[in-house]
Amino acid sequence: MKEIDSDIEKIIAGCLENDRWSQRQLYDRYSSKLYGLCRRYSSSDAEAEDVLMEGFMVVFKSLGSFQHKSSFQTWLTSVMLNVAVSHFRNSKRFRREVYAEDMDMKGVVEEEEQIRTNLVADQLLELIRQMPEMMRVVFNLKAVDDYSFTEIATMTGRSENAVRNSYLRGRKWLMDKLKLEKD
Amino acid sequence: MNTVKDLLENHSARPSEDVWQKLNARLDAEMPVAKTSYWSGLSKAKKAVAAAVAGLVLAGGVTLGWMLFRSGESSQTGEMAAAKPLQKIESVAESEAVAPEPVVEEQAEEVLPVERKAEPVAEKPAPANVTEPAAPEKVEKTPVKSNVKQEVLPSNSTLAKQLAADPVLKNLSDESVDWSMPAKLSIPNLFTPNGDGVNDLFVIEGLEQYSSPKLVVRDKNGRVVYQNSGYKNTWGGENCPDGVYSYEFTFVYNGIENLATGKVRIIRA
Repeated sequence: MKEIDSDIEKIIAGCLENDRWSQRQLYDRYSSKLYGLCRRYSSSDAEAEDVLMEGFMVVFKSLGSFQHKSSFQTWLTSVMLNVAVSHFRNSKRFRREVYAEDMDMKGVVEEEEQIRTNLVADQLLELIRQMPEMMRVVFNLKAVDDYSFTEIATMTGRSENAVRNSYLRGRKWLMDKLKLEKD
Repeated sequence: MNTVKDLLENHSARPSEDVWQKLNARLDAEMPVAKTSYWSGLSKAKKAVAAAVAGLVLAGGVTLGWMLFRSGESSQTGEMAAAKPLQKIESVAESEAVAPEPVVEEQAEEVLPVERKAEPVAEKPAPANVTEPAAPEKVEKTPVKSNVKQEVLPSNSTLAKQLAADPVLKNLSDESVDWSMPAKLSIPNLFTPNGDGVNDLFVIEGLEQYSSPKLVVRDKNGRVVYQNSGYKNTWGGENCPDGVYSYEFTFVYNGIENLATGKVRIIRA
């Protein structure tokens, strides 16, 4: 049985009544964490903010379907993640993938040295954000959010093989960027 | 050690204040607040307070004026004539001032705890204290190109080791990936339509795996010299002098439209 502090329960109740004050409280509590998620699924902050806003609209509209089966945080995260994935699925930006992946890699080669010596969390994030769209979405879903290839295939509307390949290419891509020794 | 996962999963950042503003506007548009909610009740209460204050000020002003006028006592008839309407005004003002007050209290009772009233949307709460402990917030809008010199983590060699040991990046060869299937096309960047039977056509290898293969070829001036929305590797550069052409090749794979563009040179000699 998950515990949810009564504070959040009150806020949720308020949000269910479409109360702005409660909605703002909810936003203030979770926007930073969720924005972090949006950022690693998108290629720019502007895009991340769009997804964040879209996601909160969905959250406020579908809060009634939160069943307390998981923690509220978990529920929020999964809603936001779905919004992020479908955002890219709808954006038609899966186009160009076949060749874009290879080309994109060359554009940033000169930065490699800097990246290697100054690698921090934010820079890892920046690397992720430089990935081609599909690769980034798959990489996030698999490596960070623990989805299976089958689930990812369903979510992104691609074949499982394509997803596997994207993930493998993503790992290689990152590895190359980090100039790590392969074993 | 799941360094990659941990670093990314724990990433958090504060969105700009604009986002809430926009969100608020969208909420107003798509989920307008019903009249019964306490929020609108609150604004009514506020109006009542404002009215009461205005009423009191008005009443005070009128009273003051009346007293001054009276103390002047220049003309008795004037006084009587003027005082009556003034008194009327005063009483109206007073009733205005008094009437709303019960309303205020009534509303305030419905309106939940008082402290909540104090900080409506207009005020920007300090979110750093409210948000979860896990989120030491970094407001960062670093553009991609300038991601340098922000040493936060331990020495880079340690991190590099951690990352090298990361399951996400380790043992790449172990992964059983089926490369046989998809997504590889080979598009030539040169062909020689001179009739010698070798390399005479613009042949895209792997074409047959995809549906709706569409080819558009343009010359240097952007004029379309060839197009075919069911391309079957049959273009031989007819009516195209030697030179460089650009092509757009679109095809559908797994229900998603893909586009490949590039340049191709025609050499006959």
